[in-house]
Amino acid sequence: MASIELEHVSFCYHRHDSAFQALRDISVTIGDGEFVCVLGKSGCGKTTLLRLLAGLQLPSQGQIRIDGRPVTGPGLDRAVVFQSSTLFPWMTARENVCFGLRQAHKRLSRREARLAADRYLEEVDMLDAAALYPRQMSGGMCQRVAIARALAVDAEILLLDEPFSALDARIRQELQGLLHALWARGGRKKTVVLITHDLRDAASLASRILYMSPGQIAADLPAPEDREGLERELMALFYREAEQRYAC
Amino acid sequence: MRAETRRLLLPHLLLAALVYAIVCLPKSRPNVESATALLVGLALFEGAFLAAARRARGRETGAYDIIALVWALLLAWELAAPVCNIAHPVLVPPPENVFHTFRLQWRVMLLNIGYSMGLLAAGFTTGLVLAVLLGLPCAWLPRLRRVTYPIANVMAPIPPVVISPYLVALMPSFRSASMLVIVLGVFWPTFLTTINRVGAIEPQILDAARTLEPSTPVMLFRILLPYVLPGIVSGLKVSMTTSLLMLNFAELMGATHGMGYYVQNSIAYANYAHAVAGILVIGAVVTVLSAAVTWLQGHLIRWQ
Repeated sequence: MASIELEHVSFCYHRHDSAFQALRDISVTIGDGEFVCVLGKSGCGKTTLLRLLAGLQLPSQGQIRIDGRPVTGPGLDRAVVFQSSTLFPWMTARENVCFGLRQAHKRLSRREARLAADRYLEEVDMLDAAALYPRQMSGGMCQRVAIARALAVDAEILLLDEPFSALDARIRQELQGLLHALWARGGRKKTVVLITHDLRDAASLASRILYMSPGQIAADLPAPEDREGLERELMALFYREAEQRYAC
Repeated sequence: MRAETRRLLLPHLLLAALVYAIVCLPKSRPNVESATALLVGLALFEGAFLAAARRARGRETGAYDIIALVWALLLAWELAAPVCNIAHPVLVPPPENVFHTFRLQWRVMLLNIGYSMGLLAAGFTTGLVLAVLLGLPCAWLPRLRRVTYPIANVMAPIPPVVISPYLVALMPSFRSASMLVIVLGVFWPTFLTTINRVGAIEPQILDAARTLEPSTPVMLFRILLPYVLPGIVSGLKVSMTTSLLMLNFAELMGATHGMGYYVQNSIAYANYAHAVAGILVIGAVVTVLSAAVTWLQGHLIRWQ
């Protein structure tokens, strides 16, 4: 089981004597094995939500629970892929994956970790680049390795913060396909939360979409068979929100 | 004329003039030693230069200009001291005598270099290792950082050279005092660099590490240490030169061995040929150490 419950979660950024309410009273449950896209415009609180789910920050109010246990910090039950490359620059692609592996499976010997790392790199088609350092790789290659490192942790929950946003259209599509294939394969699906501001990403990948307007979840949409219809619906939501803001 | 030949022309014209001045021109000063050691020195310089030029394979490097400048300075020295005798007869010894000193005193010099390097290696390594080992936890653990950072900011700017006479009086032996001067000279800047670099770590790297739940030792030595290493290594050259300066300064104060002592002792007995030879050796040692640090930089931080 890997279900996520958010109960009246609020988060406030404090800077000097000013405060900014990034999330307001969010309550939602994400079921085991769901592929949820959190969609919304820049600054609506998507990344803050993901940081709370990852345990990198704690809610100002409310509680987040994973399988009933409150989140009190980062944990190996959740793997995270960030927007920009977060590979450790002093480790090769293989060493980065090995590091993730050995954190999650402390009893693995070096040799076992290396073999397992190569398997994960092969899954993301990066085995040929195993000996390269991040500065020798393109942005797309780095994100592939970051996905391999996240997969190597073998967490029940995969949290992805706009991992394709800095990539060109072709690589983006390729990585989306890869991600969906990795999620859909095998018997037991991971719970995936993908943060994005791209309608197409959300419409093509998700089994459920949480649409955020600043600080809140404005719509909770299950993905229908008709993906194009969903895209139109999301577009309408975008326009409606823009009109409301313009009218104000 | 090929570019390579053109570049080689000036240094070799100067070298030819220098050799002519050494071998053929009559000397106006008495007591000029045999020129053999000087000529061997020139041959070694020339060999090193040609090897550097060969490695550069036609690329623009400073090697041609540097060697031209060296030959020009030696030529000026040769003309001013033994040939025309217009330089101070005692304070500016002939280059023949300086190079002859290497031949006569090489054992003594090696002994003193060994002594200085032993002290430098021990002090430098101790200062560096202590600074990194203490700096990492002090930077990472907020409570320790709040205590140590202000103290480090007060201590770091105090030049150890200023307090070295006090340290000589305080410590049981001169050697331990010299070592402490070097340790302090390396420790504080490295300690501060470590704390500042950890404080400036990219937040996304830190977040990525935290999501993998590393233990404190893993965080310190597998994440933070490699992250701060480029900053520490790039400061090594400065720290090394500073340490050497402090070492030589310390040796001037009352040592019985070491290159600083050798120079000081030679000046005390008005043996300026030995003093200049000692200064040249110190320069050569600094150059070798600097090259070693550059090599270390390339090997320790390959990922850059």
